[in-house]
Amino acid sequence: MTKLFQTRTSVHDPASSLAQRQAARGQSYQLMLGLVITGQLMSFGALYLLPAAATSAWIAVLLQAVPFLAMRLLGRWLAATAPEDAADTPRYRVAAGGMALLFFSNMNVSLLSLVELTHVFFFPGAARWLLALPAALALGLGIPSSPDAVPNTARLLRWFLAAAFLFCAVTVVPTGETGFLYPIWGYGPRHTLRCALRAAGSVWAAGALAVVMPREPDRHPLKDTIPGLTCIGLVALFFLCCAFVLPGSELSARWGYAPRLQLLMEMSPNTLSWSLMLMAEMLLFLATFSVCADMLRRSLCLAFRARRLPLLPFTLACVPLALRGMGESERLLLAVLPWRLPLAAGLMGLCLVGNLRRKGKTS
Amino acid sequence: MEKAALTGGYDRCRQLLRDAMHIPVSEDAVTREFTLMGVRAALFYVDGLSSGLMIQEYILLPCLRAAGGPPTLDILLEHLLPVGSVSPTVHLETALTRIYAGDAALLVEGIDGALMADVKGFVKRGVHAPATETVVLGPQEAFTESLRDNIVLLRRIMRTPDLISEPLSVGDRIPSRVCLLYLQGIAREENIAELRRRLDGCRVDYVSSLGMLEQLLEDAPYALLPQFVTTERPDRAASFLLSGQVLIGLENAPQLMAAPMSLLQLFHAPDDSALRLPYGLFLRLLRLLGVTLSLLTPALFVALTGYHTAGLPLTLLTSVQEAQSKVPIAIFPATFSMLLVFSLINEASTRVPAVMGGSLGVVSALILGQAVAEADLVSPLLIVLVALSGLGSFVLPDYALSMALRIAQLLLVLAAGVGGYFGMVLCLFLFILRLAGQTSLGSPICAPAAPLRPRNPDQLLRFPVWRQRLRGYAAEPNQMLRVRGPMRAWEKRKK
Repeated sequence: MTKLFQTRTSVHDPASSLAQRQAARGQSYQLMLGLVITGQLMSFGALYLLPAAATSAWIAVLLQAVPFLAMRLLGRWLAATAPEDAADTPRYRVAAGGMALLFFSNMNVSLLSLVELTHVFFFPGAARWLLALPAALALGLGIPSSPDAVPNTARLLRWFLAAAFLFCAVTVVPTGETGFLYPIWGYGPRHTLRCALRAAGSVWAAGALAVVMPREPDRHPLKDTIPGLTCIGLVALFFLCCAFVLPGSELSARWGYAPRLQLLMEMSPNTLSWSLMLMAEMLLFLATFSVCADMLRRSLCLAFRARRLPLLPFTLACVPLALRGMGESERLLLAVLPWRLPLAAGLMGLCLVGNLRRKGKTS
Repeated sequence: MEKAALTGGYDRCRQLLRDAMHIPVSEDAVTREFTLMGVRAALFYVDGLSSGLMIQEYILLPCLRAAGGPPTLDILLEHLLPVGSVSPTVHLETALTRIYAGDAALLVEGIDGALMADVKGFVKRGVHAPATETVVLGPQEAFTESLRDNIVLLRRIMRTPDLISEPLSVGDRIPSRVCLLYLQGIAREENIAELRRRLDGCRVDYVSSLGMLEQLLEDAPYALLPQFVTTERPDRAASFLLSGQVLIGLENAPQLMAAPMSLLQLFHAPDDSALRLPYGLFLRLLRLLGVTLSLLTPALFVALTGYHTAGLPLTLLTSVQEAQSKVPIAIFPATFSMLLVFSLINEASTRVPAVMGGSLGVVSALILGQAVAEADLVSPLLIVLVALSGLGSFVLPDYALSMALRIAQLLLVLAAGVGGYFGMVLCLFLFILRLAGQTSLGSPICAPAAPLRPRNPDQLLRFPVWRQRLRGYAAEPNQMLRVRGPMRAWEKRKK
C-alpha cells in the first residue's frame, strides 16, 4: 500500500531538479546561439569566403573555433564577475543596446539570405517585396513573447537541420572529382588567416548571452561549448565538400550569392536532396532570424528597462535591405560584418572592466 | 440558486423548500409530510432521482415507527436514519443542489436546517467497451456519465489511499460536480493548486461537457493543439496519475482529462505498454510516418507541381502533367477541395446513424471516389494522395490531435498553393514556433523534448518497459523514480 512512497530519493530532490531545469535552459540558449553562428557563417561564407578562396575556406571556418572559444571565455568571466544588480547598471544597458544593434545586423543578413535564395531558385520573376514583406510580417507577429519559445524551437529543429545538412553534404561527395581537391590546404597561411579574420565577424554571438542575460546560470562550461563547436565543424564540413566539388577559381567568376550558398550543401541532381536542402536552408534562415529577433527584444528590454516590446517594427525594418538584393548590398555587408566581433568584444570588455572595478572597491 | 438559510421555524423552512422546488407545479418534485415522534416533519426529494425503495425502507419506516419525546438531531443521526451518508445543512442552496443530485431532505419541527440523506437511485448507463480508444490487448472498460462510477473504476485499479478525489463544483446557475483526482505525494502541489484556482475562477452558468470545461481552463484557447489530454479508459487515466498528472472529472462526462500534458502523449495508444517491445516500437514508427505523410504530402505535392517542377523526377513529372492535362481543375484548388471533401466524409460518417452507414460508404467510395476520377474532375494520382494523407491522420490515437492535424494540413496546402516551398516552409516554421511556446497548465507542451526534462524512454519512440524508471516531469521531484534498482531484478547480473 505504501509502495508509492518507497522510492523517495535525494537524487531527484527539488533543488537538483531546479538545477537540471536551469542547465537545460542554458543548453537551449547555447543551441540557439549555435543556430545563429551556423546561419551567419553560411551567409558570410557564401558572401566572401567562397569567391575569395573555396579551398581555403574550410580551414578558415574551422579556425573560427578560436574566436568562438575566446568569446565564450570572455562571456564566462563576465558572468562570474557580474554583480546581483548587473542588469540595472548603465554600462550593461549600453552594452545591451550595442548587442541589439548587432543582432539587428544578423536579422538583416538572415532575411536577405532567405529572400535571395527564394528569389533565385523559386520565384526569379517575382518582386522581392512579395517575399520579404510576408516573411517579416509573419515572423514579427508570429514569434511568441514567451521566453522559452525560441530556445525550444532551436532545440526542436536541431536534429532535423543537422540530419538534413549532413545528408546533403554526403550526397555531394559522389559527384566530386578528386582533381578539384588541389590545393586542399588552401592558398597559403596568409590568405587563409585573412579569410579567418574576416569570417570571425560571424561568431560574435558566442558571448552575447553574458550581456543580454547577466544572471543566467552557466553551470556546465564544457558542455555549453559543444553546440557552437559542432556548428562550426558542420559548416567547415560543407566548405570541405564544396572544395571537393569545385575549385575556387571557377566560383568567383561566374556564380552569384544564392548558387554559392546552394553549392555549400548540394551539387547532385537528386530531387529529394534538392528539395530537402532548400527547405533546410530556408528553415535555418527563418530560425536564425527568429533567434536574433528574440535576442534583440531581450537586449532592448534590458537597455530600456522595458517589460515587453513589439517585434514587428524591427522585423519590418529589415525589409529595405532585403529589397536591394545581395548584388547591391554585397559591398556594404563586407565592409560592416567583419567589425562585429571586435565591437561585441569591446562591449563585453566595457562591462567586465566595470565589474572588476566595482569588485575592487567592495573588497 | 436560492441563497436563503433554512432557519426561523419549521413552517418557514417548509415553505422555502416548497417554493424553491416549485411544488406543486413541478410534477416530479415530491414532498411527504408526516408526524415524527409527536412533531411535524416533511421529506423533500425528486421522483426518479432518489430511490423510492430506499426512502421507504431507511427514512419513512424508521421515522413513522419511532416513539418517545420530541426528536433531537443526535437521535435522528444516531438511531433513526440507517442511511450510509446523512449530514445536516442550514443552507437552502446546498439543500437544493443535493436534492437535485438525488438526495432527500428531511425537515423536522424544532430542528434548524435540513438533514440530507444519500438515497440516490437514478437510472444510468452501465460500463461498456470504449468507443474511441479501442485496443487489441488490454482492458475493455470505459468511463460512464456517472462521476461516482468513474471514480470507482479508477479506484479499482489504483488500490491506494493516496488516490485523492477532491470534490469541487463549477457553474453559478446550475452547479455541476467536478472532481480533481491525483496521487498525493506524486502529483506536484503547484499543479493541483493551479487547477483549483482555475476551477474556482470559472464564471459560467452551466458546464455542459468536459470539452466546455477544457476551454474554460486551458492556457491558450486559440491554439491549434489541445492542452489537456482526454481519455475514456480507466487504465490510461491510472497511467496519467502514476506519471504525476492531475485528472479532472465532470458529472455527465464519460471522459476524464489530464494536465499538464506533453505533446508526445497524444501519440501514445492505450495498449502501447501492453505490446511487446518490437511491436510497440513498430506501431510508434508507423504513427510517426502517418503524421508526416498526412501533414506534408499534400502541401509538398502542391508546391512541387505548382511551382517547383524541377524538384520532381522527370518520369513522375511527365505522368503528373499527363494526368493533369485531362482535368479541368488546377492542382492546388483540386487538392484543397479534395481534402475538404475527405473531412466532409469523415464528419458525415461520425454523425450519420448506424443504419445509414452503408449508404454513406456507397456515396463516398463509389460516387465521390470512382465517379469523380472517371469524369476526369480530378486526377487519380491526387485521389491516391489525399487518401494516403487521410489514412495517415487516422493512425493517431487522439481525436483532438487528429483534428489539429487536419486543420494544419489545410493551412499548409493553402500556404503551398500561394507561395510554393517558401509559403509552406514559412507556415511550417510558424507552427513550430507557436508549438514551442505553448504550455499546458504552465508547463511547456513540447517537454520533455524541448525544454529538456527528466523522462522515461517512452516518448516519441517506445523503449523497453523495464527501462522506464522515471515518472516524468509532472511528478514531484523526489518521487521521480518509479522503482529503485533494476526492474528485472530476477536476472543474474554479471560481476
